[in-house]
Amino acid sequence: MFLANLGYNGRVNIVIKIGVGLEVFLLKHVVSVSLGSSRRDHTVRVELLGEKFKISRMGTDGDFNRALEVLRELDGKVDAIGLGGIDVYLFVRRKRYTIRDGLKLMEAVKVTPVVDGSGLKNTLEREVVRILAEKTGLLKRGMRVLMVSSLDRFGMAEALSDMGCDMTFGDLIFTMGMTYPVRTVAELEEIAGRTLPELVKMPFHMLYPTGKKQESQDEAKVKQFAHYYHDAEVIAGDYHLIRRFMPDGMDRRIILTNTTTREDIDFLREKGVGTLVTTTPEFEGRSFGTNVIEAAMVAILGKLPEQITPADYLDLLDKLDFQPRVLNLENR
Amino acid sequence: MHPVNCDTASRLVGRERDLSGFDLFRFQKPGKKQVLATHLEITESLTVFKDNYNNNLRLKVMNRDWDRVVVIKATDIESLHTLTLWDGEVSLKEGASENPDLTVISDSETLADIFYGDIAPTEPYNNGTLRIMGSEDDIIRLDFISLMIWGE
Repeated sequence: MFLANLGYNGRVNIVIKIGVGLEVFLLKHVVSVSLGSSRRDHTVRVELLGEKFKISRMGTDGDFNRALEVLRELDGKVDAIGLGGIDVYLFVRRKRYTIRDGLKLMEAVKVTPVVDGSGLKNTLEREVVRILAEKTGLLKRGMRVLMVSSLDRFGMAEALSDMGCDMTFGDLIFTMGMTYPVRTVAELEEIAGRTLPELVKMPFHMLYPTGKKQESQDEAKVKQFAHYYHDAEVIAGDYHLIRRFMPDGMDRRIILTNTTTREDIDFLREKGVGTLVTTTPEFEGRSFGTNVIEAAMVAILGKLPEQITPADYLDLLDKLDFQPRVLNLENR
Repeated sequence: MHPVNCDTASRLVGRERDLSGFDLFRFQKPGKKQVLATHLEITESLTVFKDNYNNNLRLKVMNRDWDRVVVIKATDIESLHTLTLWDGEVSLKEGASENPDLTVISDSETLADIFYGDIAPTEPYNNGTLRIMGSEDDIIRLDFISLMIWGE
């Protein structure tokens, strides 16, 4: 078999297979470069709206310089890049805060469109909350919801609060060990306004577990803050944070997150979790981060990320018929 | 009386009077842009920080179970202070303490600027002007407290 990869403006690879019948197709390549563990690396091939995609994840085990190298190597050679394990932009209502380390990574890429998932997150996760409330009944007004971190997914936080959930925003609890649950979006926004303009300049690893830290639990905080998990009916937010602080005895709890693998599902089942809801679609047994899906959407739309509006994302989500994945973990 | 830097090679760049009526002189070393704050200025900045903290009920609630000893040490003048957080309240004393949970080290001017709220600690921390020895959680929390007092 002869396989040729012909680059076209560094954006489209044409693969010709000879020997198994002439097969010519356009393949779009999307890569997620993550500060997370390389143990979660994988590649899948999917078809979205008739276009074939190769989607890969490359973890750099928390090595920031390695991530910079990989991004520079990929620049101009793939169709879109997602940044994983780090945020670049935090949207808190109408304000946008830029994480300095995330921006350094983004600015290393000069040609290929690069996204961090925040644009899609702000749209998709609001939509997921609406779907779960209106179509599945999994979310109900008055439910006690713990968001382990909410400033990185303000859209979800606001949507859950707006539908009348009894919210506990755990950003201060789990980031710095402060036993101060924030209960309202208004207070969350006020604290963000005071502190985020400076905190986003701190080294990212001080704000969020990267690399090997993602593979272990923080036993001291698991023990100290278990009651916040046990008091909640729904635990929502970033999967790595949910996992890092999750205690045993999570009977019948609902987890609302994304970026889960089969191993993660086993972990949640061991903890007794009742239902797993992932906001992004499943490809070959795992749900991808929003950065990956946003990168694929950018490749489909063929626009620069800054030109894409929430309406573009909503329209595309509708065409792709993306639905949250609901997995019952109790009956398997 | 005050440990003002009286290095004869230093240049006088400022003069002020303290609460007791003594003249205080501020010196700048030749070839350096750095201005030295006095021990008294650091004490006053920490007093302002302490008072602002103790007048903030929310901060006291947030930190009610964060009992910590924080030593503040200047690198360019003789100046040591201890901030003690206990049951949500902050107290201040001059001098060091044994086995602090956090040690904040910087030049006198940066320390005074930070605790007066003239600058945020993030930039000097990132560029190495400010060093903080302690756990990452504690360092972030100290930064957070400062931002809750002085932030936008």
